[in-house]
Amino acid sequence: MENVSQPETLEHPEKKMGGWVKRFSTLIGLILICLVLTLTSKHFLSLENFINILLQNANIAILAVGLTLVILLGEIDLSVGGVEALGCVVAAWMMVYGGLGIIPSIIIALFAGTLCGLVSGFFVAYFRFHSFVSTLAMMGISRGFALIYTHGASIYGLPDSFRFIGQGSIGPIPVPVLVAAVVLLLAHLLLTQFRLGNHIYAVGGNIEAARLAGINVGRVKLIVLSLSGLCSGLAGIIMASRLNSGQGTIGETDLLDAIASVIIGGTSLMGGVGTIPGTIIGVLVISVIRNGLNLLGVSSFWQMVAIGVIIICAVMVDEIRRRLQEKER
Amino acid sequence: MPEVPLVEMRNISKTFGAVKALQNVNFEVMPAEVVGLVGDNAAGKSTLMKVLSGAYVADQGEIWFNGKKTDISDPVDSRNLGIEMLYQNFALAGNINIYQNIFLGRELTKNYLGGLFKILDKKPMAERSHELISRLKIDVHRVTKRVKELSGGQQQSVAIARVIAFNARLIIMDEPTANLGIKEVGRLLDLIRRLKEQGISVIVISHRLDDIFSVGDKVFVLKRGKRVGMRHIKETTEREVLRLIVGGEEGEA
Repeated sequence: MENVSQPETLEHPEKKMGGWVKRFSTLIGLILICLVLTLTSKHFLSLENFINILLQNANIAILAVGLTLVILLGEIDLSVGGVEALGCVVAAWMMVYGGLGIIPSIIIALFAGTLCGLVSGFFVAYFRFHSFVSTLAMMGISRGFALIYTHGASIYGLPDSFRFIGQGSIGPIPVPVLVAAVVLLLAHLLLTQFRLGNHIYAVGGNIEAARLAGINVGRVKLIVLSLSGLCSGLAGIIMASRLNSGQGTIGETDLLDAIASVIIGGTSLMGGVGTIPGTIIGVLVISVIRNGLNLLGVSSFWQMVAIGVIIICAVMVDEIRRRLQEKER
Repeated sequence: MPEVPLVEMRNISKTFGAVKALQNVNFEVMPAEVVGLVGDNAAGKSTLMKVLSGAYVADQGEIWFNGKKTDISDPVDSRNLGIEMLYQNFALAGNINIYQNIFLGRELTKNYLGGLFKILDKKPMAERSHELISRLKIDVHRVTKRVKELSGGQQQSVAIARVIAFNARLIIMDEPTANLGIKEVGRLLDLIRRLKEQGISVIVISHRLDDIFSVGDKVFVLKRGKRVGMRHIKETTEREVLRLIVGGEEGEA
């Protein structure tokens, strides 16, 4: 048998260079933003500010990890902020009113978060709910319980040693940043080195093909939404420690920031495309912009507008890039 | 000597709502036999094969494999028996690469910490995929290329590589020549002959009687969910088969 179709030329040097620029366009954007902020604010470029940025956004990064996995599947998790608040409240409640130690309280809070994800995942996997619906419901349920258990107020009186998780540091690095780094690393390994990661991409890319390949699609969705719940619970624990209290009202804008980070990081809402390194850059873009606008004295109301505009820009750039690629072929 | 059929489907029925897609269909394939499955649109060809591949579960009927009654309730069951299906739309995930598609659902892993962690073993998957692809003479240089970047013919080759990668005993091909050029059709028919030489049975669903008459041993004809005839290729003509497809036939068990 001889070759019939034309062999494709795969390695164009110019194309490769172009591909490099395309691939790292968000990173280049991040560097440009940093440059502008360095020039406009004398407080921006310092190690102290950089560590502060990371600390302020460690919980967003953790939420964004869970969301990356969910969005890779072509699903969505609207409940991350609510479950974060619930995790915060459950941890605090267990320590203050439940009379439990720090470790058991943390475990219960993580379990509560996971359970929320498991419940939304259950309806998605076995009753074919759209995740938009089940996690929207869970957003209300988790936030509601968080407020019920705090009676709309705050739970104070957490043990002193609990502060270490949110306020301590190891060397120069704050503990929440380390926790976020570990979560990001684990998620990256999951996506690149484990069968489940492979299956997440396959389900997001072509759900029917995944099913025919023998992948238990429902199980993958259930696991991924549970993992997102686990991440939200963890983020809530960190917030409880940082605030030194349990508050049912935290994280109301975190959903916006986390989804924005994931999308700016290049993960497609259609599923199947995206990486954890991309999400890291996305989180950094959002965090640096928020920090810069704070330093420049822009009000938080205008910051919300700015983040909205940036989401539109990021997706536009992505769309233009995609159309150019299609034209090339 | 009487041989045991590799697969025997008995009295298979399947309805979708009010539509009777299959009614008491009997079907059998011997080892190393190439069987054509023909019929008009909506005759039930794909449905019957999807029952065999586990994509659908029949409402009624039995499946016997190698002389033993078996249950096929999902694609994993059928794969475990050595039944592979080449889907008409290839059933590939375009966003992942060639070797990931070939090994999808059957990834090779290495155990760490006494089996606590199973890490993907990418190198042998890539090497084996490269080997398979080379055997099929596809002009794909890298198995780490994403499938959506491949042409239609190349994608089909990846799908073929996947069905022959795991010691299949029966390969079902759904309209495998539908979107191919003449030379590519020739190559595919050669492949089917080679599979037969290796003792692998092949079922070909096709609109093109030419193809079935060139490689097939038997041909089954379905019409409106019923089996209307079976002929040995040596003892029939395209005209007769065509008449069955269009008109059906009475008195067929």
